[in-house]
Amino acid sequence: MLRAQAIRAIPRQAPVAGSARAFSRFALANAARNARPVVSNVPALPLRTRFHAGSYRCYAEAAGKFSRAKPHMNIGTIGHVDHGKTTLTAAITKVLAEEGGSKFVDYNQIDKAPEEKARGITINSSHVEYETASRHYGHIDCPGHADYIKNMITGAAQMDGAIIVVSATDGQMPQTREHLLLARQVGIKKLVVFINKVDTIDDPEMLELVEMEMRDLLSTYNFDGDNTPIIMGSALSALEDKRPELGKEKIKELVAACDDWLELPPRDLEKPFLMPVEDVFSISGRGTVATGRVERGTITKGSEVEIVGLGSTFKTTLTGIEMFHKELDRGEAGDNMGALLRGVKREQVRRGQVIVAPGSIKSVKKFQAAVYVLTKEEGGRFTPFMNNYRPQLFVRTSDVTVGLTFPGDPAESADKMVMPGDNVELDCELVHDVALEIGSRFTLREGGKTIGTGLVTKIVE
Amino acid sequence: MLSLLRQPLRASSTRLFSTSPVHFQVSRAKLVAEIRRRTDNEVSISKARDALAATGDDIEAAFEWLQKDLAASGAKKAAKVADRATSEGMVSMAILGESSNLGPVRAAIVELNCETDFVARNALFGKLACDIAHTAATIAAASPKNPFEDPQRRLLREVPIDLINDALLLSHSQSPPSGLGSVSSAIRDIIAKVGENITLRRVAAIVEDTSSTPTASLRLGHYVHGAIASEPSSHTQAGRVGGIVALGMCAHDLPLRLATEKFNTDLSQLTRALARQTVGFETRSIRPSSPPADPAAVIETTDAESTALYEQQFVMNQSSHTVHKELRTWAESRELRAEDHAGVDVVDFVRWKVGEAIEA
Repeated sequence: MLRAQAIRAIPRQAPVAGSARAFSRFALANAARNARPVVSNVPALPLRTRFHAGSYRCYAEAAGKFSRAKPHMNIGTIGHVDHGKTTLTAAITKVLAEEGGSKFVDYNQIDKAPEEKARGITINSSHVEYETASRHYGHIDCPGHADYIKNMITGAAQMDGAIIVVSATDGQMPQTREHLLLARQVGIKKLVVFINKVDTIDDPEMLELVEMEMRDLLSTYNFDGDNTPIIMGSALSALEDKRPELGKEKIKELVAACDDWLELPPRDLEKPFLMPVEDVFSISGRGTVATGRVERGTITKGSEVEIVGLGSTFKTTLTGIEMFHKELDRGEAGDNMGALLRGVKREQVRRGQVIVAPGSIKSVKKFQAAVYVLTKEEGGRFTPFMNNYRPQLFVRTSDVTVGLTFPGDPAESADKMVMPGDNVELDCELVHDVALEIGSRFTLREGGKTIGTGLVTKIVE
Repeated sequence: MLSLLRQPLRASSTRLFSTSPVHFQVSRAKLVAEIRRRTDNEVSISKARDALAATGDDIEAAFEWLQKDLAASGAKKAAKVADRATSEGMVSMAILGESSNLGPVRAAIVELNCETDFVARNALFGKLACDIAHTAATIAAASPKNPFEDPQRRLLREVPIDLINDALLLSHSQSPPSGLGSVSSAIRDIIAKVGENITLRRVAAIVEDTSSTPTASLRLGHYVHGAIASEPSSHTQAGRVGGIVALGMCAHDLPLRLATEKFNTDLSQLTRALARQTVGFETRSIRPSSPPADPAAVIETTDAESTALYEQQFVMNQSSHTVHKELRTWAESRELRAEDHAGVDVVDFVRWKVGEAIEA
């Protein structure tokens, strides 16, 4: 009944492909899902800063509309509590605001650690955003190691690069190595170093020493110690409009170094095509159609595709793409589309498989993952779990039982446990294979509730 | 050392300054680097420079100067950061004297706090936490019997922080202790090194004489969850949650049983499982707050959300029964009994989690 009404409600299309009506079964659902908000393309001011008080979800005032004209990147500040991370963040917004005539976020406006919920998980992190001539930055700062790890696993604000802040008076400290280890752990490949409080040091030899020590330490932790940009300045001078040669100019230098040195993550559209299969239909006279929302990449009609996962992996040709009852030549990330597959029987394609650019992803049974286990306050388990725990793993449209074991010596594993609230590295073995790669995110569920969330860190087989 | 200086000076750092370096400064920078290298970056750059300035660039004298200065600068730094909140850190514990079957057991559990988990994860901090636990376990038993009267007569009692602060710091391992002198001065030293506020929040230890009698003995189980590094020794550990469980045993022929290897293995498995259970679950008491009609009766029904140890399912022993029932079964199958005792019983436990609210 409902369906009949819905079909009538859809205005009749101009006669296009003969399959329009046949496709309508899934096109209906897709039509609703495709109603995405229209993104403004108003060109941005050259340099502009905006600040959301601790959350991305409050609405901007008249200050501006979000522009997608510039590539976006998330960076974080990491450093000792007294080395001036917040002052530096405030100084960056101030200097960029002066350039573009927009708002600046003062030191005391930056909430040190507001609590935020991402996928139901509480994370402490503060956010500021700003734009340079070439990029749009989301700038995050977390109080601790565990918060950065949660950020990575949930993907709430994946850091693509970081600024390490070190005070010139102290130099690197014993915990600086923990800061670099964290950067490694969350997958940051390139860093920029800001040596702060240079205005209090009048001996250039000492500054050279701070720099040399930093380069040595960076190399020790497998960063490019020789080429990493190290900027020496004073965030406070920049904030107080004093000694521009140490303040404002150095902040500009720092921002330029971020633009030049830190690499942009590939955008979804640039990645190889991947569409998780949500549903499969058999349309007489046409063949088998698989529907889903394109996760990344683009595809054109007539391309060769691979269907991966659930025990069978095979190639075929994409003979048709349809959205909104209309045939298209090209589908791209974000589209809910129907894919007509040549010479494939309905039984051969199942929900949980993915349709991908051939060779771009493998079907995997064993892998390692970084897992965050939800606390009972977050709706997770009350009790710990032991080696060989077997919850359901949900990734894209598939759910599979997974066996979780501790990496390392099996004799010691029996003594270990995972408690709610833990970040752990675990070996995972699925009961049947699913398309996965390094960086794939998944959730773990048991008895109808989410008990954990994870990120694939290593593929075993 | 020279490897630090081998790289060419970078344009970015020299461009800033119009003055060309004077000669004695070059050598001083090398000396500063040497001090920093030898102390593993624990001495700040400006402090090292002050030391050299005060001693006329004599590096050995500078080390002496730094050693003397550490107390003063540590105190100054500690005063500066004293009001900052410390909610991260480590729970560490030390178990001593377990190797002898009938001798007294000593144990202590300590919570040492800092501001960020970056510092908590640092080896300096973990070692200090373990050293303090070792110190507490050693001195609590050696101190006069009853300086801390406890109406409940608990076995594991909170020890006044002052008593520990004034104690001489002992090392838990072969390496020298984290600092020379008292626990409080070692804490001050580490504040000077990492620049964060560090506080000793609480200490509990066994203060009674726990030597075995012919018919009764005490065993401890301990477990630490969330340890960062591999444990330096099995008897001293630090992590995010820690627990010690004291298990009392009664039998007429106890020394005889304790002499057999099988019994000892079973016993340490049981105490370990109890400690894991206590730590893994949110355990706040041994028995449920509302006592059953018959206190001698065994608690049969498990409660998944219970904070009472005896009411929990004994998951750590791969059992579907309650901890209480499992303990009874364990004792009965080994025919452990005394006149009015249940054979084995959890006498006391402590479970601490870093940063948790302390119940009044």
